[in-house]
Amino acid sequence: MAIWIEENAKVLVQGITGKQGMFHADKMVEYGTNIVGGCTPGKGGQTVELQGKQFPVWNSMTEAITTTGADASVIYVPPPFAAEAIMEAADAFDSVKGEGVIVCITEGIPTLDMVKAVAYVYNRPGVRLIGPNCPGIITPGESGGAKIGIMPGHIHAKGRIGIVSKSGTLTYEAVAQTMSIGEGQSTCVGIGGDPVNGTGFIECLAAFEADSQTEAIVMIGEIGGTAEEEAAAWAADNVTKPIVGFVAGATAPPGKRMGHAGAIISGGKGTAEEKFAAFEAAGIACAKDPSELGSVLLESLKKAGLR
Amino acid sequence: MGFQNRDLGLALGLSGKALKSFMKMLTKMYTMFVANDCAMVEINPLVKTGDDEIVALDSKVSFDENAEFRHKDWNEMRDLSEEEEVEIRAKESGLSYVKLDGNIGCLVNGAGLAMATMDVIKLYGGEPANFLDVGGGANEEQVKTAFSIILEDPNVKGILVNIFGGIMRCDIIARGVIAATEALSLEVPLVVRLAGTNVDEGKAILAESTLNIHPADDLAEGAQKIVALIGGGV
Repeated sequence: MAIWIEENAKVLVQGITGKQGMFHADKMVEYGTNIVGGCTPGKGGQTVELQGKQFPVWNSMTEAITTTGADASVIYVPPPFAAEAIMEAADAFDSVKGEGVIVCITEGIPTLDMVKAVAYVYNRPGVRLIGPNCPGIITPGESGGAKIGIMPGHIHAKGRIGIVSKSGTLTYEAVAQTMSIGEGQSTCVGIGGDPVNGTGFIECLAAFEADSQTEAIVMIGEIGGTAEEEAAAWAADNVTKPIVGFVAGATAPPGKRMGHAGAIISGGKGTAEEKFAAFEAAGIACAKDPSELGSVLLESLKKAGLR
Repeated sequence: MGFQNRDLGLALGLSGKALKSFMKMLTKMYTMFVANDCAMVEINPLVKTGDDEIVALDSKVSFDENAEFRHKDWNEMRDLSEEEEVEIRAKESGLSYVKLDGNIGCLVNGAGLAMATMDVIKLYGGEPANFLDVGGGANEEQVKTAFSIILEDPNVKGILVNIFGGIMRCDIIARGVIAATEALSLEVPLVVRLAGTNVDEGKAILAESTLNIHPADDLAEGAQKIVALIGGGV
């Protein structure tokens, strides 16, 4: 098992005929992801060549899901149209099969558009949204696996560490750290750095806790908002597996947006210091330097009798 | 919604004409917020006059930059003197830059990793001069622009490049770093940490160059090296 996405999950690409969509769809196929086609309104009936094979394109997500029985979709649609793409996918997964995972990679979606999209997804309880503004989700397999997003597939290996992070490249850093101590990953989830997003830390922690393959968790947060504090408090009462944490932005000045839309210390709230303190209070082993995530994880695994 | 406005007004102890005036203002504020893709609307101070009118004496409004594409009028209202010129220039080149007070410039891909890089510089006794995210698909030209922006800051005594190549390939970054250091005749010490896609090719390219570039294998090593090279902290 892994969380939400099995190794052989059937995946559709929304925006597959665009430059970004096609580039990343090709990389996903190369990794071994079971891509079953894509959706670009107005280009239905065409095919797209990925890794030397032809993949069908549909006009609508309802048509695409009905035909393929897809489990998940990944969105590479430009910001002005991305929220609409999320809602189309949510509606289609809900009405065709009552469930589905939507991964939105797009960066730069207006916040108020996301308010609408998140409410829309929330009203369809079988549908899960990951992102936006995230690297995606990956469940490494014995060979290949399901890479749904833009992360470099080759740095991963199947294993027992679950990773959840707001940041893309820091997730890769965390993956490399697990590999440095000889551990692979069950599933890695990038939840994204936007202020209004789909799946949050707590849902990831709950899923990792329930997943038999996952034996320890790495959680990476960053300044802004209170998601890390809430997740830490929840974990203290509900997670039995060891958690290792890091928070980026200890040196960020207040009131300045640090790249990610949500990464801002406002009114003195959302500092790394508060988040580290919440992690420590919840018994989460913290690394002050992401290069130490491996050694801190190793120590936690030993303490739990897992090494 | 109306009842929420009323609850807020009642919580402030308003009643009668003042409560009505307050509710009317909040309704308009909400309409304005949504119609204009605001990120924040702040009224301070808000006063109740002698004849029970509610008046906004001053206000600050900020907009959601992601919604700029559907508000062509924003550009006309924009007061560039209120913004950091160099940060605007960085944005036009697809870079995200925030100037800080330290002396170690950083060039990183990804916002989270860029923040972590600043944090680790500080952890090992240095002070970061900036936040700079070159984004996920930077090319040689952007790397060059990033270097020139970092070097505009006279406080910068050394630069740490930290790239975890995903979509971005380390060999491309390595070539960009070499081209930039040559074009700008870089004089300050430079530490480069590369990881991820095509890391071996990237490292080989840096090693072959005759430039004074110090390699590092991980972030901690990179931060320690640059702090040592500029002779300790600030």
